[in-house]
Amino acid sequence: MQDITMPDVGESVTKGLLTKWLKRPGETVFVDEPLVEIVTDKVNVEVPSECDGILEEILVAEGETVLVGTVIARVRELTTDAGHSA
Amino acid sequence: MGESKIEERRRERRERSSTDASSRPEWLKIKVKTGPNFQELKQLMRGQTLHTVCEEARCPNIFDCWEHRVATFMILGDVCTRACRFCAVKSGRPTELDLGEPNRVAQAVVRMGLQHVVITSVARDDLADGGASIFAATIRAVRESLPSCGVEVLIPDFQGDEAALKTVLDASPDILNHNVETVRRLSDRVRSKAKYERTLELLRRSKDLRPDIRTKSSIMVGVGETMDEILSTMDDLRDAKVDILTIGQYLQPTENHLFVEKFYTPTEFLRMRGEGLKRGFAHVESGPLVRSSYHAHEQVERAKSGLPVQAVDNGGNGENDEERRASRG
Repeated sequence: MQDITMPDVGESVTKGLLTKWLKRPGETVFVDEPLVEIVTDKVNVEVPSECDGILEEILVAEGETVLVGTVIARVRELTTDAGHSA
Repeated sequence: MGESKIEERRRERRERSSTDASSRPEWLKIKVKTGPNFQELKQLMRGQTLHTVCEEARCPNIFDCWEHRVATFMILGDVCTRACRFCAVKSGRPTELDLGEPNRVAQAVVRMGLQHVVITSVARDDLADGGASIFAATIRAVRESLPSCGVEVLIPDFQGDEAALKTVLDASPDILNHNVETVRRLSDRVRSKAKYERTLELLRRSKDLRPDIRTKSSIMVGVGETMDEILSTMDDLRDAKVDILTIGQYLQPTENHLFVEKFYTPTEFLRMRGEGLKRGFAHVESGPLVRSSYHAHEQVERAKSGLPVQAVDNGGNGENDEERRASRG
């Protein structure tokens, strides 16, 4: 299982506002595909999946403010040889 | 008349706050890219007690630049003696003067294997030379440790002190960068203590003293200027013989900073680029997320490569570049 965390952008940025999930739980996601949109100072940031898999769980709802490092979702990795489930 | 001026202002501030996602245009969206280079650089910066403007100014290009191992060091501490209304760097009364900093920057440059380094600083109006000697020492330390590395300095105005400017120029940076930031009419409102004329004078003087060193300046648009005023500022910079111009969108770092009055479209940035080239700048970098030191190494290469970039009617051949940049992320 891969944790998706609120990324650390720089030392002066500590939090962001989670505005929109671009994927729903159970949906297939690919590496580098944007999962969620977060509004930080200055720009909107899309956080991508780091692996191919299934979006297992969303842990932070839209409209909530998230601190850097917070786990916001979990992605279940899909491997070609042993796609075993939880 | 129930609402006082202050309350009205507060309400307006809340309504127009930077965290309002819906007010941000699509081209200001970036994608997180925390690759191995980014992570490594972040660790390196932390370990060295060095400051980067990438972090302090909350720069949106941080993933892109750091992944390409390009960073802008901010020397002379992280507390600025000025409080410009667009800038996220802390302001206050600095105390430290770190004489070991030039060497630490040089060591970091070596470890990162940089091709081009940008060195900038907070304003240090509390120091007699405004920090010029530390700039010079940093340039020399980088030169000594990694002669192949291009060195660019982005300096404060040293309150118009010519001797301080000369101290920096004597260390022979490849590029001397000093930002005009905004148009003449808005200068006093946007910048703290800095003067429009003094900026032009510094750039002109730099060229007079050392014609071999490229000069560069940046305009941040979106704080309430008109296109005509932007064009006049370009003219003023060209009159001061500035070689390289960068133009980027102002973004509000926190809701306590200056509002964004206008988001320019990628096409408008393209037009500004064309206008710049028409006026004879050797290189113009113009786009929503363009920052003073963005693609700095490429700017030097292009500005160095003999002939200035040819002026074209509408800046036409920059289109692909521009589109790519605008749609990045």
